[in-house]
Amino acid sequence: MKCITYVSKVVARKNSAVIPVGFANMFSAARKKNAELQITGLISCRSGYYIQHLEGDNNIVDQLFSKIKSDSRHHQVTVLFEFEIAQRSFPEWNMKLVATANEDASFLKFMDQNSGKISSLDNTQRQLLGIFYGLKSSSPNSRRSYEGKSLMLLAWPDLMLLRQSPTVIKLCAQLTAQPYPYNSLLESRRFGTQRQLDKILQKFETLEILSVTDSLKQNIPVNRVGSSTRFYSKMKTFLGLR
Amino acid sequence: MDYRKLAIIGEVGAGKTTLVSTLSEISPIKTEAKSSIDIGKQYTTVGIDYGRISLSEDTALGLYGVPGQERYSFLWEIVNKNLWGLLILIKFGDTPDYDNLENLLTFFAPSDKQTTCVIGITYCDTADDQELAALSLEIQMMLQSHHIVAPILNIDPGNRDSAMSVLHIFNAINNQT
Ligand SMILES: Nc1nc2c(ncn2[C@@H]2O[C@H](COP(=O)(O)OP(=O)(O)OP(=O)(O)O)[C@@H](O)[C@H]2O)c(=O)[nH]1
Ligand SMILES: Cc1cc2nc3c(=O)[nH]c(=O)nc-3n(C[C@H](O)[C@H](O)[C@H](O)COP(=O)(O)O)c2cc1C
Ligand SMILES: [Mg+2]
Repeated sequence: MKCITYVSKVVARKNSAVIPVGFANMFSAARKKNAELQITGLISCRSGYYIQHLEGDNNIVDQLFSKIKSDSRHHQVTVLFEFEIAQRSFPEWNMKLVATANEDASFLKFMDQNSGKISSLDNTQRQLLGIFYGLKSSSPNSRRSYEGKSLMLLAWPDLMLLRQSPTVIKLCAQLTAQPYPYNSLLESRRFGTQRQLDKILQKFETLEILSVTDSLKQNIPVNRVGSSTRFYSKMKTFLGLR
Repeated sequence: MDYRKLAIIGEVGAGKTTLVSTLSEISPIKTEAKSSIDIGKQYTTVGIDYGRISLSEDTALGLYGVPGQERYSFLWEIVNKNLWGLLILIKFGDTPDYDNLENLLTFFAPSDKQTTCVIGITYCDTADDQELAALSLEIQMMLQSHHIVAPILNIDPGNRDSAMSVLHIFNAINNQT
């Protein structure tokens, strides 16, 4: 058996927007195909780059990779690792899609076990790996406090990932339209204790979907006028929210 | 009279008519103008699925199902004023038509106009979690390139609870306390 890990670039659209067009369909088809070929591994997409790890029988991995390499949906395919293996790192996944490779236990373990190989990567390879791995420390004690900051979402999290928790949804809703002071979130008590709130916010930070800025004015943005209050109180009744 | 508009836009078969029927107290197919706040008749004749939720005598939320293809952009013009929300329905299974979606987002410009935008993925019953995550990833990248911060929900347009959850989320984003 062998494995190959590579990084490649998502092809940009004419208007220069970087969208992995057709990724979902490719994913479904490839996962099925990998099951037939007994290929396992991981794929992730971040900042316009893919990382993919493939493992399986030598010939099969080679054949598949040469096909993938010439796929026009990505380019600048750079191999980071390619070596013989005795054991699979993703035995249970024909193609595991992860939002952040840096948070995936199996991926981290694979990196750990191959730290020697990481040190012999050249600069380009190391930079490409750096898009997915070894990102700024995510240990909670190194985290700054949100005290006095303003927060806003850069994107909504994948709600399935967070098990559609009502508190998370409420918090996301609050941080969607405009920056909102952390201290007001805390004082509102709508998002649990400070520890519970911080934990969600830290999760958002590791998902890179939270913007944290120094807030000059700490007042809650007011955008409610009389008629709105009436509308929302009726909406509340309609939705059965007390 | 306090009247707000929710536009529901999506490609052919994405579930617009179904969703409007599920939420509306009047049928989107044969709209009859009876209520004093009913301004739906004019819309059905041009191909908009019009529905309504009366919240009280003088308060209502209008639902406007509009085709997503650009050749219907004359209908986009009709609904694109003072929107309370913009719901974009995307069907799981086909690769989304990004040319069209990007035109739509450029037209409605939810980011500039501060219109609350929600993406609803339909036909989720045919997909597993990883497949849905893969589609969300595509859509999320498109949203980010248009600076749109919007939730991506899995919805079943024919299911009342699922349809209501869409209104819940619009309400939560819009009703800032
Ligand atoms: N299984 C399944 N069927 C769905 C779903 N959403 C819509 N449908 C079905 O798909 C068909 C088309 O739905 P419509 O609501 O008519 O779609 P539309 O967006 O109004 O389509 P056009 O008016 O043709 O643009 C109907 O038979 C719906 O019942 C879904 O999430 N799952
Ligand atoms: C980033 C990326 C990763 C891919 N990973 C796989 C994979 O793991 N397995 C697979 O069968 N195809 C994968 N493909 C698709 C292949 O390039 C190719 O389209 C597919 O194997 C179908 O080939 P065929 O039509 O010749 O059978 C990937 C494509 C891209 C762009
Ligand atoms: Mg229809």
